[in-house]
Amino acid sequence: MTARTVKVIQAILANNDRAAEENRKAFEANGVLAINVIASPGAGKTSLIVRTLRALADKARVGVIEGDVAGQIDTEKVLQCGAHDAVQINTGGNCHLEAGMVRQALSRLALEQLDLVFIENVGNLICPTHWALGEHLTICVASAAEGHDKPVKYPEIFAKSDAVVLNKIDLIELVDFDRAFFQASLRALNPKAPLFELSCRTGQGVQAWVDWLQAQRLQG
Amino acid sequence: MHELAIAQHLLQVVEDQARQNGAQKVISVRLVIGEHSHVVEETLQLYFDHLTAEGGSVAQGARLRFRRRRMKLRCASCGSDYAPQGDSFNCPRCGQPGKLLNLADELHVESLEVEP
Repeated sequence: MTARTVKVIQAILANNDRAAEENRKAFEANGVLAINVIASPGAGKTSLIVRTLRALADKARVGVIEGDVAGQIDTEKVLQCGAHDAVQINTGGNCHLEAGMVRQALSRLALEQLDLVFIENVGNLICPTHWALGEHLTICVASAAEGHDKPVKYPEIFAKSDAVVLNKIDLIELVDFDRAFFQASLRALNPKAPLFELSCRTGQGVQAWVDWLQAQRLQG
Repeated sequence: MHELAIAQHLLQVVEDQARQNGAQKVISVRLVIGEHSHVVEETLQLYFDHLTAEGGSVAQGARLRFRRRRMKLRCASCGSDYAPQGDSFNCPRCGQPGKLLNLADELHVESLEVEP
């Protein structure tokens, strides 16, 4: 039997991309700006969301989709800190969220009552970058304590981010963080994304991030 | 790290394409994978075999063949194209910063070898 070659040229994750597009339409039908927050474990994803919730308390109704391998500590925390609604996704071992998981979460979220939705991805700088969720913005949170080499080691997420947050800036003197190296490698990958240096612990620099985020909100 | 999830999506693409092309059996699948897709070839093959092990799939026994792509930058100073070396994105020739040309995050199916 003779074999033949069939040309394909298709993205392996095309089905995920289609589901992401449906999610995006659902967000937009409700005038909701969706933000995919990606970082390594402990960089401060939840802390940034909590700070943002407090700053936007009387300015926007914010929902949160929490992605974790297990547990719902973060969902309880954001609800205590002023999230209008929050839904937990437990991936049961998967190291990233997929568009289908977010679609299921959306059926449990009061989208029509919201202005912004944070999707807090599983703590990981590699896998989540491949999976579109329907977000309008991808935000990468790095922290000074992790070191200045993160853009060189994990270029994909820094190249794809619409904004980069450098958290724990209050620790910068203690951890030998080379700011110039971090910025140079970030700019090689991504010349345009704004960089917000801030501390979720002290609140330093948070306002500039919140102001930028407010300016990204969908009209109508 | 994420090869199981990628293998599941890959198998769906392969089975759909095989069906659309009236193929009885898939012998091999040619993939284009960027270095920053962080796909381990052996692990992806392992999960692909695992997912098709029970039979009934046209892709059972198919070999995955990989074409790898590397990240590429262009030096803003001397204009040469280069892959990053060591722990810097700067040009290895003149040491100046470069601009990203290709992130190498591809995850694509290029072609299938099928019977008949």
